[in-house]
Amino acid sequence: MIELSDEILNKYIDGELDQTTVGELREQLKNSESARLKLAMLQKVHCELGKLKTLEVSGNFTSVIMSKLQRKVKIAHSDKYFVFSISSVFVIIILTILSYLFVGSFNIAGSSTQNIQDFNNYINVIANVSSLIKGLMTSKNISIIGSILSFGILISGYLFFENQRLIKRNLSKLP
Amino acid sequence: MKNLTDIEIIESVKKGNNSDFALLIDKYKDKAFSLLVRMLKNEMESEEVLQDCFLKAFKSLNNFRQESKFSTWFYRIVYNTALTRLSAKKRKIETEMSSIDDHLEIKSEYDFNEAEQKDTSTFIHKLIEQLPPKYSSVISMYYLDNMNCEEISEVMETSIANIKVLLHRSRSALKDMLVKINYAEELL
Repeated sequence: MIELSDEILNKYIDGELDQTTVGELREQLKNSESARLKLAMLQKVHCELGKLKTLEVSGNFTSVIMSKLQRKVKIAHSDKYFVFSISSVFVIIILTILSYLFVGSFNIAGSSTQNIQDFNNYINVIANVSSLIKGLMTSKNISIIGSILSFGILISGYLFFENQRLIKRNLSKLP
Repeated sequence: MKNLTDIEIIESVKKGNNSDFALLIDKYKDKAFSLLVRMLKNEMESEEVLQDCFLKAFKSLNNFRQESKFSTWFYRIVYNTALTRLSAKKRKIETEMSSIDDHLEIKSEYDFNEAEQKDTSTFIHKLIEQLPPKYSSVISMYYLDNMNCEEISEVMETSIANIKVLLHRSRSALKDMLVKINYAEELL
């Protein structure tokens, strides 16, 4: 004997019951008018739900999103270029300092080894450069380099903050 | 209009043809909107949320690994965004969604007029608005988007058995509402 609950009737509607259960259920339905009414109601609801209509968004929906997307893409590009330009400035500064040090040490090394073999020149140059770098690592120089870097970080931090504020302002202007 | 599959459109967008994203918007906007309206019960808010969903989808398109259909992936974004919105509005959705074992009882507070009762489709539509978000979203995905229980379970991140229970309870709840307002004779 199957209990003709909503659950079993819903499973019957969805075809989730095995043949034996379906047979039993049909037999029971013959003898119960209330169960037949319940099943008919559930079937009607199922049928009406199948006829549901899709709701429509406003006409210019796609164009509004696409214009927002274009702006976002533009902002993302400018953000990328900003980070790239800041990093480039830093790399250029570091390269300039290094090349200045390198050229300086090369001149020192060059003048003192004019009549010695090229191989020895190079060895001396490398040795001088390394000793110069070693020399730079004094507490005084480290504090100078640190100050320069801190200043650079502060400046770039400020620029980054300004850039973010600009982006936020642009986003708030979006329709 | 270009006749491309979802995957072809996504590949095209990934290659830099951003304008092709409009094809995806046109394809899914109305169905996703229907789902949102049934969850949020407000058309203006639903349109606003839908815009966010498309922007999120565009931004995360590179994360779409084609392990499921685009529609399933996109509906998951829509469903989760709607849930977040509902939580933000302090509608106590958490309590509502915590367990499907909770008894589903719908208050028939809506005042149905005679004209609405004559148009069965509109009438059922109004009744669906009375369903809690979780139930109405299952109805929307199953009947409007022709998604099967497996796909819906992926969107809602729950088991297939739970989806079937939700679907059956939604139908039963609608049936009970019809009985409550003596609509049985009209329907049958």
